[in-house]
Amino acid sequence: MSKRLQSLGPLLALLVLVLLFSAFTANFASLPNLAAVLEAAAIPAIVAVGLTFVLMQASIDLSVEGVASLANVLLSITVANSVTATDIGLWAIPLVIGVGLVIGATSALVSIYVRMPSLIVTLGMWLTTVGFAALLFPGRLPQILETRITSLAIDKHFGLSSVVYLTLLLIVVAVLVEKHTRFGRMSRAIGENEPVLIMSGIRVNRHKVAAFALAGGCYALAGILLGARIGVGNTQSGVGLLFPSIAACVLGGTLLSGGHGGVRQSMIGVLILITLRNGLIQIGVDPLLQSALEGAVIIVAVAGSTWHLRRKIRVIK
Amino acid sequence: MTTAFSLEGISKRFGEVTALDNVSLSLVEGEVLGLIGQNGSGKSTIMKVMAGLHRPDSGLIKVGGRVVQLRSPLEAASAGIGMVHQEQSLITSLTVAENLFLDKPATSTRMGVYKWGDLRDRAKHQLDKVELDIDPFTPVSELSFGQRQMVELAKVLSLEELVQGHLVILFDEPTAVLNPPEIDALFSQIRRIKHRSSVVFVSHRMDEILTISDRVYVMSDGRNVATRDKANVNVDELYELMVGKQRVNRQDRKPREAHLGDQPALTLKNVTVPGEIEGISLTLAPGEILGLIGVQGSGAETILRTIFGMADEWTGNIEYFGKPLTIDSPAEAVHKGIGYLPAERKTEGMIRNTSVSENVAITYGWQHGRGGGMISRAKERGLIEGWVKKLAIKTPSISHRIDNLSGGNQQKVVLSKWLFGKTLKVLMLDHPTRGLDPGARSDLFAVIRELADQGLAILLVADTLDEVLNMADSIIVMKDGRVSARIEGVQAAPPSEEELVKAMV
Amino acid sequence: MTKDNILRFLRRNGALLVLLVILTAVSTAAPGILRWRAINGLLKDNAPMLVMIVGATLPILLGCLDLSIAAMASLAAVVAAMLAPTLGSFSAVVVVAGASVIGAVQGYLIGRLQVPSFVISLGALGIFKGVAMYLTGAAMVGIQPGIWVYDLLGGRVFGMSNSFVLVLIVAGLFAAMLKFTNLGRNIYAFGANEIAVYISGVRRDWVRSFAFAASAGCAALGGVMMISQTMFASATVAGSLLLPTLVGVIVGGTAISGGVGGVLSSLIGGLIAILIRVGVTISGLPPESQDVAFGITILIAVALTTDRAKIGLVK
Repeated sequence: MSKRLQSLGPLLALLVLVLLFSAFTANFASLPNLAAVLEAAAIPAIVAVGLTFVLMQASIDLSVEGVASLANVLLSITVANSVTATDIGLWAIPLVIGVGLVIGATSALVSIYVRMPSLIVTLGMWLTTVGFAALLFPGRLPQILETRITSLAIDKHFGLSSVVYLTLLLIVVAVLVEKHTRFGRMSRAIGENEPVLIMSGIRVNRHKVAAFALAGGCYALAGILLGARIGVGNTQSGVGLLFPSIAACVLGGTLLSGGHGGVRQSMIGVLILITLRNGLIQIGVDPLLQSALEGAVIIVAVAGSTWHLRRKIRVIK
Repeated sequence: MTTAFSLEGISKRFGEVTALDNVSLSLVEGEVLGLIGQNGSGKSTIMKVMAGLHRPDSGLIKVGGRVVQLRSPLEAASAGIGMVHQEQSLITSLTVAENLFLDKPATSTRMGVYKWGDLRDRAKHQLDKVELDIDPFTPVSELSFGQRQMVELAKVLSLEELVQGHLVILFDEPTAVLNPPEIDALFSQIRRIKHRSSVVFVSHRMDEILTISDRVYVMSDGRNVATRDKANVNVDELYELMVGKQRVNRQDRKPREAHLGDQPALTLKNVTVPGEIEGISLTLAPGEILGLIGVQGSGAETILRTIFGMADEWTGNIEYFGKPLTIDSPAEAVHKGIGYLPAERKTEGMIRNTSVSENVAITYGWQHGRGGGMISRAKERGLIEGWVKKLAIKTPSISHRIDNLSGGNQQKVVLSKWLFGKTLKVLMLDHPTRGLDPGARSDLFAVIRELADQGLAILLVADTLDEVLNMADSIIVMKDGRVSARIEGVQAAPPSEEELVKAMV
Repeated sequence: MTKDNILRFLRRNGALLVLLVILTAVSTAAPGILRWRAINGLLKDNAPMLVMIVGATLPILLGCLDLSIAAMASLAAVVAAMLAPTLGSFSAVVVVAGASVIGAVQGYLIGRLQVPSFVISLGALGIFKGVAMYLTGAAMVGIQPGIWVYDLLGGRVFGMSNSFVLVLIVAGLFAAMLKFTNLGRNIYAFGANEIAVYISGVRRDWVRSFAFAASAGCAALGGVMMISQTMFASATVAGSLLLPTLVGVIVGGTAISGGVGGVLSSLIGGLIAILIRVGVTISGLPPESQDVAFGITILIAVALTTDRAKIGLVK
């Protein structure tokens, strides 16, 4: 029973939030506002999809903001833009995503073979990618002139932009991967009990590299869609993605301790967080307090989700 | 009656300790071999050698008469040897079907994508073998412990499609987490699988061994001391064999005379820690050495940790010099004058990468300081050197790293941290001699006796029978979390070793 | 010398060697850097970061991580600037004391809630940032000259920046605390083996609270130093200092796995971080390559100092 409740808890929380905000504000339940919620949720959702596989394996990846910014800058200077002469058209998309994959895989390989915690490796990677984004930045804001990219965010179909549809597509694929592939199934198992898997002859390291690479690819995709949305390449574009994505995963039930949750759970977490943001602004909370709120939510969510694991002898660093 | 599997002259050492000493074992097709022995007799080491978890230092392993190398559990599996683990090896977030084939080469996947239909059919087939009627796609987390044990068994039995010939199935204390009906179910499965496999069955419980085994194989001090057919087993003889070298030489025994304080230092009434100990009552007087003994998991260590404020939840009463002891952390226990030497020296006892002197001074160093939280290393130095000399700790200097000392000397350093203060009244020792060589053990014994003579109340969870018989004034024998025997006046009239073993298993 | 001994020697003195090498390299490339005025200017500009490095060392000695220091420095700067008109010099004291209390609560929560320090402090980072944003309305807050404490910190004595003198005093106090008190002994032992220390009867929660109080208090002091130099504060004024601070601590040889290092080595690490920055500038590379240099330095330093025996599985 309590297990059921724990797995349904986030969904219930989401429903309660939606009902509360619908009841107390005139605007929340309107179609344009719900569309706005989905638009706002799209990019954090993409990041959370990638992060979910890493977290399920009980690792962590802090490099989101750097990789997304780097992807955004790289995209803006390789497609038609107002500053550089380079224009490789839509080939920029596979290029940028490829760079994301390589960065993620590099983090994993360093962590595995130099035997360093992923927390530190990805902290270093965060810095390094922020630096590379700044190095690539051509000095003036490059306007993205490639309309096939900017239209992703501008053209609406049934009230939603292609960014949202692309995100939904990614989520569906990720859920299928999680449920039906060896990689997906083993990711959660790695988080739960890695020694048994190693003893069973499972190539754990391959799955780890795959998870970080996938995460890097997702961050890069997020960077591309950010570019579509803001229309420029900006070294700061990824800033602010780390918090909500980690908070969302944990809120939904993809715990930092690994072995729990999944893509669907993380997506519920994203919706909770975005609904909370949106709803609180609707009822008049200062948007400047947003990061304070998210910070508190992270602490409460992690504490709540691991409350039953508390033991005196446990070492928490 | 062909020999399915044999070990010939296997030896295995861990550092200073010889775990297996020239052990041989042969397993006939279709038999159940019951393996018994005390803690540290080498029975789990021998199981691990057979399962490919430990590589022997010397000796041969033969499967069907052919010499094999078992370098990993996977290699053991391909030789037809599988282990049903004590700590279960199932991944609870995966389904039963996935777990069954986790360590098998055929994964029912194409390009990394599962073919669920195929997996279901294969899993169903395996579950039928152990008569387990559950959906193969049930997550393991939703199964009872008994069902999980059956899945473990099915996982091992699924080797038969992979391996030509006979299987060898190792059960490492499979009954520890099961209730009686589940144990019966397990036994009927073991009897069913005998026609196509040989079984090695380890248990702490003598009655179980006698129920299920065709032969009983007794280990003591890393050796095989006897093998008996079920037909002519004499239970008393088995107890006697299990005691082995731990028999105390009655002539050389120097009984100590305890001078007990009047008021008990510790009184436990009905102390229960859910799932670990139940209804424990005992008293301990100043100057007394109370020996606790029991097989692994019998709960003796839990008693010490509960007194020391480390239990997460417990019920009952603990009185300390007549007053209720209400503490929630070791810090409070230490403040009241209780000390605890943990069994896990490397992970819980010593502070690695730190000098001998810091290890000694960590708890009570401040008592020799200048006040106001300032410590005086100069004053500590003299005192620590005194203890190093008194306990004969072999270290180049007290600023030497503790990591570089031998196990016995490390243990003495950890012990001295409790002797360093001025306020200790009760000292609890959890397997203090584990992993020590005989010389270091007798040194440590002498120190413990002297401490008791000085009026310290000592609670000793012993590794071996001779330890309690030589040291303790009273003995409490633990079995499955409860007290199974109490013996007073041990020094004057020692009980027989067999009596203790009988209460333990 | 065995490989072990060499490694240990490097761990103990490596930071100093690296500092000398970089100093030599930088001063060869730009001899001007060795002039007293240039050095003093650098030390003054970086005093806030150096004092944060001193404080951030303590959680890392425990094997924890405090990611909230930069946000705390910004928040402290904002609050101090807002309080200065009414409280005058006292505003600095209030801010540092208040920050220490908040830090202590953070440390206590890690143990009580059993949530890893990086999560608590990541959450705290968000909270501090949000509160600072809210207080300032995302605008700058200025202070007027003439408040004793800020004038003092912005000034100099015997030609040396007062802020840097204060850094040395704080570092000296913490170094003495670590060496001569029971608390200091407990901090090192905690980092080396938390469970053994717990079983030795040390109050884990208190030790952790102290470490995080020190870290937050020093961060607030860093924030106060920043307003004394620039005379204004904003919610993101110190935001960029988190990573260089951690680089400083780790490069100094304080292992992320805990139990090894000290505030003085961290100071050396801090000087290295400063020189990396200077080196990047004078080598003509764009200033942004600093981050790349820091990121890679952090990885190398951690790789060299981490006690791998302590990590069973790498997560």
